[in-house]
Amino acid sequence: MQSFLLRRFGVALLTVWVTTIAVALLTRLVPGDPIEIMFAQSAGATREQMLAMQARLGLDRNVVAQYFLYLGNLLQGDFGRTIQGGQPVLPLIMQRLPNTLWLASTALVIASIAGVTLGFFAAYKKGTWVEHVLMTSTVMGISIPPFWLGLILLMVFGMQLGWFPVAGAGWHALVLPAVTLAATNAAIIGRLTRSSMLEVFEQEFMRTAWSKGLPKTTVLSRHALRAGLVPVVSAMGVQFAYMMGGAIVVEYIFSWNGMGTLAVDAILRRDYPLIQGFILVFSVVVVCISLLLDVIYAALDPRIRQGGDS
Amino acid sequence: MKHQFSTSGIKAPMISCSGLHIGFPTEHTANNVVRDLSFTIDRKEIVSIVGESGSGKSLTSLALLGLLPQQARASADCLRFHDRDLLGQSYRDWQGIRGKRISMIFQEPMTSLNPVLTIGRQMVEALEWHEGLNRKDATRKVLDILDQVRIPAASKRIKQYPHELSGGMRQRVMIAQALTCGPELLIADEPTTALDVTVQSQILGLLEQLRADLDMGILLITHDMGVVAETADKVVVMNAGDHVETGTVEQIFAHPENAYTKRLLASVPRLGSGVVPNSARPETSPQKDAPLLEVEHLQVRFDQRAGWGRKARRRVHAVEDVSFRLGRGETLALVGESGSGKSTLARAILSLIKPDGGTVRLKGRDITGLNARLMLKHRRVAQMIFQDPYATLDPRMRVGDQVAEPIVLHGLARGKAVARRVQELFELVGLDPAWARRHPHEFSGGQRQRICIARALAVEPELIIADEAVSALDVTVQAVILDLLKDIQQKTGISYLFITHDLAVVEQISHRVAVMYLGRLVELGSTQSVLRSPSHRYTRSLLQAVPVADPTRRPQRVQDTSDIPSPIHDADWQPPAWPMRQLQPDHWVAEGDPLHEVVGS
Repeated sequence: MQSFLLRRFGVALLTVWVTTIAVALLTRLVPGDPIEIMFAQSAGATREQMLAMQARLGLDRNVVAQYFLYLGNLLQGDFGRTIQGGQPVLPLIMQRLPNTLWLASTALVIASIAGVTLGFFAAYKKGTWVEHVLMTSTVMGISIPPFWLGLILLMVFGMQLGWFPVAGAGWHALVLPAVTLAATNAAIIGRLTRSSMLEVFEQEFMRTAWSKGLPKTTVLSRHALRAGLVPVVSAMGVQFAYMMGGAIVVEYIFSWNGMGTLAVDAILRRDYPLIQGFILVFSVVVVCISLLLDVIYAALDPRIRQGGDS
Repeated sequence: MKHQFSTSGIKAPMISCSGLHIGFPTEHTANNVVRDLSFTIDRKEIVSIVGESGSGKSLTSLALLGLLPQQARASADCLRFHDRDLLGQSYRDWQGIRGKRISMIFQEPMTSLNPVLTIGRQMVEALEWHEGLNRKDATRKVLDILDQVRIPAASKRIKQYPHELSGGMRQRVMIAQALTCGPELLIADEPTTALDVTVQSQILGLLEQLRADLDMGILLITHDMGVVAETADKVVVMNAGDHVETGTVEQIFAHPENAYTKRLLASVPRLGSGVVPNSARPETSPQKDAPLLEVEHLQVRFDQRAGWGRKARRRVHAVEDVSFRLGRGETLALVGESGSGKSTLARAILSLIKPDGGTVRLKGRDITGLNARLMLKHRRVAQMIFQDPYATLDPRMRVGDQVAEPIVLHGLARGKAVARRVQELFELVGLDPAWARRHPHEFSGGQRQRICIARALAVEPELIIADEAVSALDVTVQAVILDLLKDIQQKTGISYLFITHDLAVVEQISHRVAVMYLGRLVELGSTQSVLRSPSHRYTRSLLQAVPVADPTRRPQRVQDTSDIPSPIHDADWQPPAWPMRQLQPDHWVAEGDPLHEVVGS
C-alpha cells in the first residue's frame, strides 16, 4: 500500500511539472507578439512599458532560460502580476479558490450519491418501468445544458418560489449552483453505475453470494455494490475535472464569487499571467483529487493495491 | 464403500426429484432444456449427474437451490428436500436452506469468490447470519474448517484476497466456505474442471473424506467420466436435456444400456488401457533424418519490477534450458500443468516472445532474432491453433473469408483460386464448403475448431503448434477432432507440437512426449515408453493423478496438499544444473528434482 501511494504521488508530481512546461510555453504559442497582444486593449501604453514587461516576463531570452526563470518564480510562490491592475496573481486566485472548490465538491457529492443510487436501482430493477424511467431521466440529465438548467432553476426556485437566494454566499446560496453543476454528472455516473452493476450481477461470485442464504440487503451492499463501485470511483476523477471546468459557467450564472468568474474575465481581457496561474492551480487541484480517488480506489479493490508487487 | 440404510424402515430420501422440467419459455413454446428428469439423493451418497455441454446438468443443480436464471421456469411432479417442496418457495424460505442445509461449490474458484473481500470476510458471513455467531467465534470456526480442508497457515490465509491464492487453494476455500454451516447436501458443479490433475485428485479425495466425516450427501455435476468412476455411488446420465439413464456407478460403467451412454463411455480416452478407441499411433512413422524443428537450450525469463526503471527484484523462470527436436510427420506432445511454461515455450518457438537464450532452428535455419519481414516467411511454415476457437475467430467476418485471409496475405493464390482453395480446406476438415458464408456464432464448438484448423492449414504449413486445442471440447467431439488431426497428418506429412495437460489425449495423438515441470523438461521419450514406464517422480505423480474411467480401479489417494513449487525466484537466483540422463535409445529423464528439494526444504 505504501509503495503504491508513493508511486502515485510521484506520478502526480510529474504531471504538475509537465503542466508547468505547457503553461510556460503558452505565451509562445499565442500567434503574434505576446506583449503587443497583452497591451492591445490598454490604449496609451508606452514603448518603455512594453519593454519593461518583456524583460519582466523574460521574453527577451531564449525559451529554456525563460522556462527556468518562470519555474524559479513559481517555486517562490510568485505567479506573476496581472496586466490590468498589476496585482499578484496567486493571492488573487487563492482568495477565490475555496469558493470554487466548495461548489465543485458539493456538486461531486450530490452527483455521486444521486448517480450511484439511480444507477444501482436501474440495474436492480432491470427490464421494469423503474429502469425505463430512471434511464430516461439520465438522458435528460446529459442533454440539458447547464446554463439553461441554471437559468430555469433560478427562475423557479429563486424567483417564483423564493426558496433559495438568486446570488450570494453561504450554504443557502450554494444549493442551486451545486445542483445545476451536479445534474449532468449525476446522469453520467448513473449510467456508468448501471452498466457496472449489471455486469457485477452477472458475475459468478454473486451466484455464490446468493447461494449462502444471506439477506438481500447484505448480498447487494456487501458483495454487489462494493465490487460495482470500483470502475465508477475511477471515473469520478475525470468527472471532477469536468466539474471544475463546468463551474466557470455556473459561477457566472449564479454570480458565485469563485475562480470561474475571475477566469472568464481574465480570458476576455487576455490577461495572460492570470490565465497561466489559473490553469496551473486548476491542474494542481485536479491532480490532488485524482490522487485522493486513487487511494479510495485502492481501498476498494485489493488487486490494485498490490498491482506492481505480485 | 456403499452407504447403509437406517434400520427404521423406509425413509424418504433427502432429495426426491421426479418429472423435473426446466425451460426458457417464450410466448409460444416452453423451450424446455431439461426434460422429465428424476433422481434421488440420500445422506452420505455421492450422486453424479454427468453429461456434455448443453445437457442441462448445471441448470438442474441450480434448481435445487432456487438459483435458476430469472427467465427460466421449472416445474416438476415432485422436487423435495426432505418434506419441503422446493418449487415456489419465497426468498425467506430459501434463506433457511441456502448455505445452511444445502450449499454449493462452483467450477471456477477464481470468479466464484468475491475479488474485493478477504477470504475470511466471505467465510464468516454465513456463520454470522445462520448461526448468529459473533465475528470472533465465527472466525474460530472458520479456522477449524480451513484446517479440515487442509489449508496450511489458515490464520494468515483468512486475511488474504482470492487472487493471492493458487487455484487449488481457492477451490479448497470454496469447499470450506460451503461447509461452514454443516450442510446436509453439498452440490458441486464441475468442482475440479478448472484444476490441474494433481490438484483435482487432492480435491476429489477431500470430498470423499468429508462425505464420510460429515455425514453429508453430495451431488456431483461433471462431464468427466473418469471423475465419476472414481467418486460417485450413483450416476444420472443426461444428454441435451433428456434423462438418459440412471444406475449405480458399477452398472453404468459395466453394463450401460442406453446408446448415448455407450457412446459417451467409448469416447472417453482411457490412459494406458488396451481398449483405446484409436490405439496409440502406429499409422504414421515420422522420418528421423533432418528434423523440422530443433530447439536448443531455450530460455525465457520475465522480470518482475516494482515500478518503472527499478531493478527487477524477482524473476519468473518460465522456460529454462529446454532442448528437443521434432521430425517431419511427427507429433510431439508437450505435457505439463498450469504454470509449467508450456505455452511460453510455444510462443518463444514462434518468436511471439523473445527468448533470453538458446536457439530455435526451423528447417535448419536459426530463426531467433529475425526481423519482422523475414519472420513472416517463417510464420508460413509454422502455424498455431488455440484452445478457444470462438475467441480466435473474428465474430463479424464470414468464416470463409477468415480462412482465405492468410492465403491472400501470403500471396499463395489469387482471384477464383482462393475460393477453390478455401473449398478444398473446408472439405479437408470435414465441413460443408457452402458454410463458408456463415459467421462463427452459427457453428458449434467442434465445428469452430475445425475452422481454426482449416485457417492454420491455409498457408500449407509444415508445423502446427496446437495449444490445448481440444481441451475445451466435449469428449465425443474431442475424439473426432483428434482423428481429424491424425488424418491430416497422414495426408500431408505435417508435424504437430501438441500442447496439452491431458495425458489421455497424449496417448491418442502423439509419437513422443515431453513432460514439462517448472519451465524444464523432466522427461522426454516415445509415448509408449514414457506412459508405460514413467521414470521421473513428477511424471509418475502426474500419471497417478489422472482419473481412471473404471469404478473397479479406484485409487488409494495419498493426501498431499503441497502446491507445485513456484518458478519465481529472486533476481540473483541461479538455476541449478539439471542434466538429463538417457535411459533408452529414445527416453531421457532429468536427474532427480533439485527444484523440489530447494523449495521444499
